[in-house]
Amino acid sequence: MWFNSFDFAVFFCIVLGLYWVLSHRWQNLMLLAASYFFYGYWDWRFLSLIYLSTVVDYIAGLEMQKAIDAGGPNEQRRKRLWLVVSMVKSLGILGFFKYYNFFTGSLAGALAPLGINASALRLDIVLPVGISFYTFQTMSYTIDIFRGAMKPTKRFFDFALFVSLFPQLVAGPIERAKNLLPQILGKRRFDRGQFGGGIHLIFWGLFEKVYVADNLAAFVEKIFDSPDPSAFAVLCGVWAFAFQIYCDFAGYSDIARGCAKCMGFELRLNFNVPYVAANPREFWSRWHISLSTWLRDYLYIPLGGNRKGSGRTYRNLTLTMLLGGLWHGAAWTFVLWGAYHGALLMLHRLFEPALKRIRWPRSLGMAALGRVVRILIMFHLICLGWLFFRADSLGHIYLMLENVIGLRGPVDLGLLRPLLLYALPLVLAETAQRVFGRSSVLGVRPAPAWVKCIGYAVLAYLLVYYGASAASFIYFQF
Amino acid sequence: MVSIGAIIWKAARWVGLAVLFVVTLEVCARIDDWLTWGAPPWGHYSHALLLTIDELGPHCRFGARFERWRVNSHGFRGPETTMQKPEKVTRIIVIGASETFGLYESPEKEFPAQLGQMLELAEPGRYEVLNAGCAGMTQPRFIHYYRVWLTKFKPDIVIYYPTPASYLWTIPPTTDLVTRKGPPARLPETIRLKRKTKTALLGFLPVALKRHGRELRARRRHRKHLRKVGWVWEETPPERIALFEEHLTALVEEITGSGARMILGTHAHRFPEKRDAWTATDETLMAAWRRHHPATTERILLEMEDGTNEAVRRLGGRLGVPVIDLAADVPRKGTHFADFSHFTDRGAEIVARKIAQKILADGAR
Repeated sequence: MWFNSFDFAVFFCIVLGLYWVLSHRWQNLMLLAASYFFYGYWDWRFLSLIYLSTVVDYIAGLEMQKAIDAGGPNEQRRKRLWLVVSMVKSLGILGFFKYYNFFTGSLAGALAPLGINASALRLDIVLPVGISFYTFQTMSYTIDIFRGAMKPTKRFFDFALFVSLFPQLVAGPIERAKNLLPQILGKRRFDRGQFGGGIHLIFWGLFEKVYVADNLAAFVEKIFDSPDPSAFAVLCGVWAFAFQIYCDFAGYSDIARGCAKCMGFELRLNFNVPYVAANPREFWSRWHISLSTWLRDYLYIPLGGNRKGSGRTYRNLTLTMLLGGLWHGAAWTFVLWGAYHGALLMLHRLFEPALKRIRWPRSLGMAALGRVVRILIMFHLICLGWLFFRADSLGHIYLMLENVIGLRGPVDLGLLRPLLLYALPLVLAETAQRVFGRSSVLGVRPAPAWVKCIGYAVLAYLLVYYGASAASFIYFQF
Repeated sequence: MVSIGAIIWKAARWVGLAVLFVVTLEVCARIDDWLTWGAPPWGHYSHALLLTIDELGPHCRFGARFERWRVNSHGFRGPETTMQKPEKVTRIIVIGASETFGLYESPEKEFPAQLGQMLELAEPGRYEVLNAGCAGMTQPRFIHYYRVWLTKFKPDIVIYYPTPASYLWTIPPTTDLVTRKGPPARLPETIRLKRKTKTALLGFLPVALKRHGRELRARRRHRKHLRKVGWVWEETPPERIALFEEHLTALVEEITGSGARMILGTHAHRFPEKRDAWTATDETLMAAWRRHHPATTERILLEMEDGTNEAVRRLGGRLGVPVIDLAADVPRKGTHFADFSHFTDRGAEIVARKIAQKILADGAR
């Protein structure tokens, strides 16, 4: 059930209608049932995995708390035991469903030159939708309890709702229990402003997804499927993909946040205009914030972060980004993408002191120009990463890079048309929102109602009459 | 305590905003049409622009443009041409209803255009193909149109792709001439948003819902027809098949009498012979087709197709006119038909190829 489908529109209207007439207790139970229905709509068999995750982590959380409450010499051992149980379950499910075929396939590829046929190891496994998202969400719950950062809930159904809340179940944002669980446990009151904000986010997210991402998708596919695209075509294709993937994912996140907001929940911001980042560190503080902060809190910092010297810092960065790449998908292109971003972060760290010494002229105009130049450079570095991400194979990456470096083929300015048509309105609207604040589509605050009305009508027109037909979200496969 | 005045003011504000919202959408639609198709921002803009009635009877309006459809100054879909036939060129005119004019195909992918491209590739400069297809045009209308207009173009070959569905109308096509003298009728101003919204909604609704809705409407129209007209068909009407054959005979005699060679095609549709091979989209489109012919049922529509195709084959044998069995040649699949009987690019390609093969084979002899 995609967010941009008729089925979801009907489903959400029914859920929302019921939601605000029920009491808090029944609201949560109804939301749990609706969330299971939402997930089971893809394939009801995968519900068993969510249920398994819920039961194991619920018990693990309570048992760890019991150990903490009991204290004594066995506390640490018992806590660790239940954490291991929870991690084995989470990583086991993720490893089997998402990475089993990747590793066995790679192994078979490596053994093939030795004359060993390991292809029989391959299994016919279907990847459950959103498995990476809810697995990371439940892992953060048990780790936080282990660390004593939060207490577990005893209310099973509320915990089950935390794991499966439908707006963010299949493609994030990856919520922390510390943020979401108290909202589930506490009463939510209808607030007109919050509800309006939710509708705005849904509307804006649909625009990003249906108008920008889906329309650019066909163009990107054409370029990437081309057997020998020109250098300019590769550039346009990668620029378009940068906007496609951003709008696809940020669109989903905004719709998710909007739906949750309409029901009184506040989910965390997942994207904060990432392409205005001027360096790799800033990019990762703006792109998929819920994942980057998860990796920082539960992987990078426990590995030692930047506290144990340069060598360890670089190692930690590389490891974190490699795993971040692998989280996105079981393919070597994703690993390469992660390694590339790890390298960017390391290089930035290495040269940051030198870069800081570059003195831009003091005048305001020149400082702004300097920032624009750095943003443009960073955007193209990100685009190079997207090439690794989108390409079908390492050979495909090589071909496209070879064509760009060799400046092959003619410059067809007509290729800019989809970018001007679909990405430019987004850039203008995002710029307006950045300059004037995020409260309205037009970004004019406080805008008169008639101005907002015209702005929403124009967006609605583009969305309804120029939106591509319902297509799946890229990030659902992660 | 909120005063009544405040409530009225609030309500008026919301109504005003709603009106502004709709007006903005309509303005967007007009700007969109203007930028995309060069449509005038004001005045009528619908597919009705493509058709007219005058002394030639109903036909495509000369020089008409609507969205991707273009009619040249002589009433043919496609590029400009001259009435005078170029020397050493075999001129082919294709006649037929909307399937021939082309509805869903990409520009220059309707079957007459593809036929022209195929013939040009095979024998450059030898053939010229003119698409005289016109949506809703019936056989008797073509007899008149051919006699008073198309003969002026001195075609060497005329290809006719007949549409039998009009013989299931409550009042069947007649040879009574419908003409109108004077300038073309002025079409009323239309709300552009209406058609665009309908198209967008149809794209958004799931197939099952569309099918259900169309099924309901088809049944309702069937009942309404029975109530108002007093009858519906229980069996396929043989008199209508006979009328189809009679009109087709007259058309063939008119064309061959003018000295042109003629080629006929049987009418193809998308519905597989075996009922269990139908997809949900097939079911939806059948309901949509039935809605156009409220006196019929699914069985009668399909039997009428078979009956009229048999009549075409029979007539071909009787009058010595070659018949291409397109009903058998075009696969009954969604990849070849965009709706019940209109082609996709692929469907049109097969039709064009079959006709091109026939023309080239005849030319070689």
